[in-house]
Amino acid sequence: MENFDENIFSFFDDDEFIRWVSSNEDDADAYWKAWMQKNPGKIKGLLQARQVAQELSKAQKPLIAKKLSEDIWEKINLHIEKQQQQAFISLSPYSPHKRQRLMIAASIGGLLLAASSIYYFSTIRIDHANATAKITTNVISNDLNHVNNTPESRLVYLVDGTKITLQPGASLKHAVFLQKDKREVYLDGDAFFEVAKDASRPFYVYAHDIVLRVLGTSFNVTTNKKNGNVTVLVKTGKVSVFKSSSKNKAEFILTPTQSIRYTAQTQSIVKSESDAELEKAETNARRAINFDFEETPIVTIFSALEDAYGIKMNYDEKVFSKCIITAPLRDEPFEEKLKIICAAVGAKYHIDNNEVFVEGTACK
Amino acid sequence: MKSENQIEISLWMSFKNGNRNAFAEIYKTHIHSLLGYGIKLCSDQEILKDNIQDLFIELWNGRENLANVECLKFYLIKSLRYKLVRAERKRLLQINTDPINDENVYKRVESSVESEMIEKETRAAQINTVRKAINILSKRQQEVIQLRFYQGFTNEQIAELMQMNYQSVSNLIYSSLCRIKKNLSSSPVFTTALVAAFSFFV
Repeated sequence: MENFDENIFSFFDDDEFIRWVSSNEDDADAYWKAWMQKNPGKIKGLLQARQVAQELSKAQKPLIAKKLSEDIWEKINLHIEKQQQQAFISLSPYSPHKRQRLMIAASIGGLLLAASSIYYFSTIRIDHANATAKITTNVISNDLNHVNNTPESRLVYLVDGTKITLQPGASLKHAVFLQKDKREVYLDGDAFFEVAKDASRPFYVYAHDIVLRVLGTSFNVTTNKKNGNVTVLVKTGKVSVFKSSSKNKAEFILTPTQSIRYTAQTQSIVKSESDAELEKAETNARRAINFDFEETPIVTIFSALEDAYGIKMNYDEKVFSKCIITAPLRDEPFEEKLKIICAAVGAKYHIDNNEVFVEGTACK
Repeated sequence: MKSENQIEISLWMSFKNGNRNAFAEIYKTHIHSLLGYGIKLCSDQEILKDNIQDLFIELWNGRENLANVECLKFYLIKSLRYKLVRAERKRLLQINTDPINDENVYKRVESSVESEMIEKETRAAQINTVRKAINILSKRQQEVIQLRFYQGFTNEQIAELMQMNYQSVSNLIYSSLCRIKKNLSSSPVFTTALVAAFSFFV
């Protein structure tokens, strides 16, 4: 094999020389000017080496780089735009100095659709802490008991997405039906129900002697503690009404604007058309707990969910203490909310014995 | 006058703060280096495009977690090399295990980016000649010449990239240059202009 000029190669082996020919940096230029003054006899060799190095560099410029680089850049931009459209949950690392927003895309299927529709809902904001403080929720041996001791109507959230507006003095008792196949609640007092659709799990309301069976609908129930009378008024969907003493017998089907009145003394049910009281019930139901969390510590969200649904949340406060998320939640069922929140911080949850366990890693 | 390095650092900081223009500037600054290098390593233009695209998307998405990179170009070249080596391994595996795809792969190799480029090359004849002299080197020789003369990396950086020791890098550059010299002297298009530039070759 032929040999390469050792003198020229000594330059090629010198990192300073390479820096000089491949960059336009001033300090490199100054260095070699000084070198030439010290080594006048080697100037010719240096300039020759420089010329060859430049030829070798030029010969390696990619030839169709312009088109390629434009193509690639276009694709990168498209990808990033798409990412940002999908990122409906933003989270920011909790740090007083740096609160840069990190957009993340939730990867859980189905969430996208649900979340985008939630996103466009407007929310009536009421003071969250106030709302939850006034309604007491007690966990009695796996049963939840909601009592509204306030002079205003209050909303109760069930894990399946059902919302119930409890009028003053009303109480609602139900099992934690996270893992049950039936949805059953016991009502005393007046309440407006907005039952989440779930064809596989009928929703039962027990009100004194009366039982209501629904799949997904909204209706108002009035019960009288003193005389045991019950009134049911349907807003949307279908409701089956029967006496608890005679299940599946003498069943009444109510459609929108129809109502029944049960008189305990005579044990008689009278069906009629009426929509006068409905409007009142509906306006009451518009008062909601604010689930539209903006830049909220995840620990606060967990305890808000705990209060709203009466479900025990188990998590390591230290791990999640720095997680701050923005999650525009609204009417979705409890588990859907959990999924969205967990996706925001890459956490996982599981449900065991009607309690939720969240595990994840600390946010930076 | 701000040095290149200072400009790079301030660009990097605003990029890390989510500035899309800074990101575009970083792309513009480095894309030619990456293409020039990638072409040496990867014979498939589509694979190369995909990997460079991924590289920048990952860079953007992970910008907040990235340490301050001392030499961004080196970081990018190193990341691209890792990606391409992995892609090439996958491609070779397909050639070996998937006989149905043989024909496709063959076509791909034939339409290699570098040979396409030579076809399109109509510029100065001597550069074309040097280009050809480089292109008939082994893959490793081409890579080391590219890293040293086009990318301008130090021998130490090259050693880290190519996973060899410092002295071997120097030796590989030397033997590659000997081959280029030999290829050039046997070239029929060895014009007088070239003789002037490469007078030491002959």
